Amino acid sequence: MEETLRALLGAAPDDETLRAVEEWRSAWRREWERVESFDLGDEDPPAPLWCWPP
Amino acid sequence: MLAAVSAGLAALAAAIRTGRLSPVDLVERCLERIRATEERLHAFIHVDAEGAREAARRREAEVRRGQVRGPLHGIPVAVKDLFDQAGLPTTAGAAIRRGHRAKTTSTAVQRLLEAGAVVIGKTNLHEFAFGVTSVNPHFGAVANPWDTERVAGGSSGGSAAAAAAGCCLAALGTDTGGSIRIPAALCGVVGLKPTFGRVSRHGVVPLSWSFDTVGPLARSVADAALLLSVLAGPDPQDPLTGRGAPFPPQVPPPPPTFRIGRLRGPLFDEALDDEVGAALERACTLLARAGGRVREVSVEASLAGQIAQTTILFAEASAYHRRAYPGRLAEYGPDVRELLAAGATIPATAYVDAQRVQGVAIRQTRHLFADYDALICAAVPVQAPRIEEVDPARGEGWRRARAPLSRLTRLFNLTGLPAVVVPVERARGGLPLGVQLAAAPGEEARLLAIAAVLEAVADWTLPPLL
Repeated sequence: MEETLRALLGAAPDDETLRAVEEWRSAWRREWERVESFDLGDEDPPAPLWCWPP
Repeated sequence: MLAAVSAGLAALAAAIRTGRLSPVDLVERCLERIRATEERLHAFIHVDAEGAREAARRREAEVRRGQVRGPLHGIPVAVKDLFDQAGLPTTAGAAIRRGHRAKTTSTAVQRLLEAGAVVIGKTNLHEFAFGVTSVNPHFGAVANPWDTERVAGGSSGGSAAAAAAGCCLAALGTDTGGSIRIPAALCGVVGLKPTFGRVSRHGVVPLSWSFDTVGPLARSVADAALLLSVLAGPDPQDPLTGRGAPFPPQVPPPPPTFRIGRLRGPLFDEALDDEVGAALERACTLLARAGGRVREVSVEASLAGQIAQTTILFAEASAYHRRAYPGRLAEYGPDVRELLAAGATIPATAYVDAQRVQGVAIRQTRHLFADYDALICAAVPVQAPRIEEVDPARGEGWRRARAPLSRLTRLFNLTGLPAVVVPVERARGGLPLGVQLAAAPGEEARLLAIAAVLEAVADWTLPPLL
């Protein structure tokens, strides 16, 4: 993660940025449980809107 | 000015065509209004006073020669500072773009100009459109014209504030997670996010390619419809456009007995401000009295869809900024810097799964339109927060405000559906309250027909402000 952030920031991320990103990731993981538990079947492919409306 | 802006765009344009109203006077009155309000509102990043005056003089001379460019001839409009207009800066609300000058004009602005509009200035926004408050660390916090200690919403906050305060007669915005509809609701104007792909995005600084949508903020549903008729249509420079039928310049009548699906479930019902909830109830009652049949509906994927939309948006925004401004994130405001850094950590597998949930949400909402002409829910679950509570320079309140402000708008970005916010009443404290209607893809005419019914029966008017 630090390498990814370094590319964006142009420097090593400071402790404050690392803490904030880690907090965001924790919150995101909790919310992501809704997708993990969502019933996605083999017939549910990605549907980017590039082809919208079909 | 206030008398002028109380008339609709079509009436004003007709008065200009017949020589009863001078575009030069109209522009001067908008500039006066900007001078009177800008110190408090911070709605503009760049006011092109001389350019607007010159354009207005040309429009007036053209009328004298019997030349009318189009339905917006001589009408002053404002443009979110995310759209290129040749010769003007496009800052995107970012310090790192202060020196930018556009060499070409975005398709949306070009269409406004070809229709005769006069661009009076570029409006303030949340930095790079990545936020919902328009508290901008580089160009000032856009204040709400109804209470200048509160936010205008975002990211098209300057466009909403300018239209509400009469600094322009309509404005252009973009909507990726609610950025037209949130400020429209908080500032008491009509905000229309058209169907994804309806309006060209060529020449607009991107936030998230899967959701970015161009649309109008206006002082009435009829004005929004007129603007959409100018903006919509195919553009060879944006391959997503061109699938929808042309949009008529006037709002058609609604179906004789229109069917409204009222969205219910935790996403739509929980943590609603009491007055926001009451305004939604009243809107449903008014629509029923006006001939609508209102029934409760739900979308199973709505909660999973929330995090799916966030995942796609954040990953795409980080991907764009990583390449567009490599190594410069430290020069961004603290909130946008943090969100872009966070987006860069999203796994590719999550991005794909989010798109799969998106497909399910599209399918589930599409099913509803077999039985309903439009869906309704609140627009923003809370009233406009105080600027000091959400200013990243003053603490962490912005983190708590971000998700609630966009909670009810993001589903319609995920599904690409057209959605419009209509102001319906004022809260006890004086702030506007709006509701949101959505329709099937490409069905803006039906959507705006029902929105116009609601606007009429709610009897909302924009009073003098400030």
